Amino acid sequence: MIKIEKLNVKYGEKVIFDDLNLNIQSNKITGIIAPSGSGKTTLISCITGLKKADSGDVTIDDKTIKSRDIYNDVSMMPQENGLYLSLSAKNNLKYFASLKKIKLTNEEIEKMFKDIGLDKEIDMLVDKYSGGMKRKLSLIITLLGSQSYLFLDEPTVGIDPIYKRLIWEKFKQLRDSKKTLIITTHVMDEAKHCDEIIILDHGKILIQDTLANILKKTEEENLEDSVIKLIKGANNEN
Amino acid sequence: MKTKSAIAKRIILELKSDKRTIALLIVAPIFLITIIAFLFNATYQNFTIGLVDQANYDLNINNSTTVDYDSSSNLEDDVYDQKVDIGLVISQDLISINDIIDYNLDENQAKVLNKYQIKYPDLEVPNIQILKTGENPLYDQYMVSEIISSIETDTNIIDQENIKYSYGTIDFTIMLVMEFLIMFLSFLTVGIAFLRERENYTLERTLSNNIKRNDIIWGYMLGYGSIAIVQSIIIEIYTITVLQIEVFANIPLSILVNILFALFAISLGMFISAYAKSEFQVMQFIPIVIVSQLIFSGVLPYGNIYQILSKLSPLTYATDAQVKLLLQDSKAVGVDILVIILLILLLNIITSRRLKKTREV
Repeated sequence: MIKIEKLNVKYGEKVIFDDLNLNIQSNKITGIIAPSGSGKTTLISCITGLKKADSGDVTIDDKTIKSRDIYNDVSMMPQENGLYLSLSAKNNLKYFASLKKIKLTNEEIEKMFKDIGLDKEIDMLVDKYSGGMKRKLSLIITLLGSQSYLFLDEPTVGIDPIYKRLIWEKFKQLRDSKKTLIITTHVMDEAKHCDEIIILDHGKILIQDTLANILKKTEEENLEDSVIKLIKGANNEN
Repeated sequence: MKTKSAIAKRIILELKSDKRTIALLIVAPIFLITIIAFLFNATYQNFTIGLVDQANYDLNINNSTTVDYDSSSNLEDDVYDQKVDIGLVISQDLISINDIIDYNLDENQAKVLNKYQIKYPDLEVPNIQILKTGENPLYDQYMVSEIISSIETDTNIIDQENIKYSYGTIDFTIMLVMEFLIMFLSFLTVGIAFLRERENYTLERTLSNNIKRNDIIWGYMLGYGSIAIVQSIIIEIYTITVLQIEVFANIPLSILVNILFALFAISLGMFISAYAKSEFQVMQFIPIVIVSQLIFSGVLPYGNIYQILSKLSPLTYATDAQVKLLLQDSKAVGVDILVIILLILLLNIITSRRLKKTREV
């Protein structure tokens, strides 16, 4: 389980999190829905050790994040793809695999590319890839290795509907194989696949529950209306 | 080591698909060294010497035309009026090599003379006075070294083995230009490549693995260092064979100095790009960190303060090491090499700390 207690983060004068408390259950798909600039990337950075909080505790399976050993448990798919444009897709995959100390055979690499529909573009320079293709490559790099916590920032942006469906099926398989997925998304339709949804605004958790319960609590028929209602309600309170 | 070599391999693969950068790193220094060699040869050929030769040595000085004078006072007047480029007065008497105090030598030529003094303490040499116009110190330096090497050869006072290691202005300038270009191009290439890692979030992605921050820095050193090895060897071979600068006393050591200095430039590039916010800012650092080194590296012969400032310029140590190697003074380059290595370590430590901004644990 990921446990966040009294998390405080400031950028200069701007307060991002003020005593934030949050628990994320293991072996589930948790979706984080948040308007832009509401702190979701900072939250992921704090959990994955890229950023240290000013104060507060973050633990993963009761282990405090204080060294790079965390990357044995955590894998990340950043919002920006973080791919080497002047390398071929295959060489990108091989490079990141070598950083994870994974040796891949050519057959394994070809299968990975085939599963995601990039088998014909395996040797193409990433510079020539479309946005959706880059996203697919970024995803297969993130899924390399045996890390049990996967942080995926907008994983399906730009990906065509057929592969989107395949990817969500893959996510569910990963969950069933005891992995924990934390996914940020703007696509409400995708949130229905999540076991739990967190709605975040201005560094505060507005609600954390299943989709059905959120709809029930907000007395709305779809998630989009629930999100708007919750954010408006929070702004009125402020 | 596996991580560092994975990073180095990735850098080499990236460069393989970027042929223009490889060409820039290797062809550009060769192109510019050639231009400068031609420029110097064109400018500094055929100077006029006003000669008062009381000893009847009948000298034949390289690249020069001699105008004979009867008296040194007439010659002094013509040197003052710049009717001749340089004046040379050779007295009838020989003097002891230990009495040569006003030989118009620069620091390195004095070292050569010093070697002769130790080897031949009883040697007597022609008493020579050189009259300089003072109009162009670099030109004066060039002419003096031509005169000295010709006198040494002609009078046969010292065995030929030692003479060929006297060096001239052209050699010094080519060393300086070679070191400067190696530094500038490596700095620029690495500075921008390292900054792009941040801009494209590949640095963040690389660091989101169980690797040390230091691994990235030493992986870069390894990757670009391999290219520096190829670059240094090609440039050195070119300088010796095509430009026929036959002054490399210790070729492997000279290549090592080049490689070390390229590694320094790689460290400097990473250091600056770790603090720069954009590629534009990397460019803005060039006058401060690169051009200033050229100014203080010994190309302008100014007074004492300049001498002190030159000690602050890393380029001074690389050029100094190369010039010492021209003089076959291999042992003396130890300090220069040590300074360059320490600078590399210092820069890498600071850059590694700066990477904490990207990954804090």
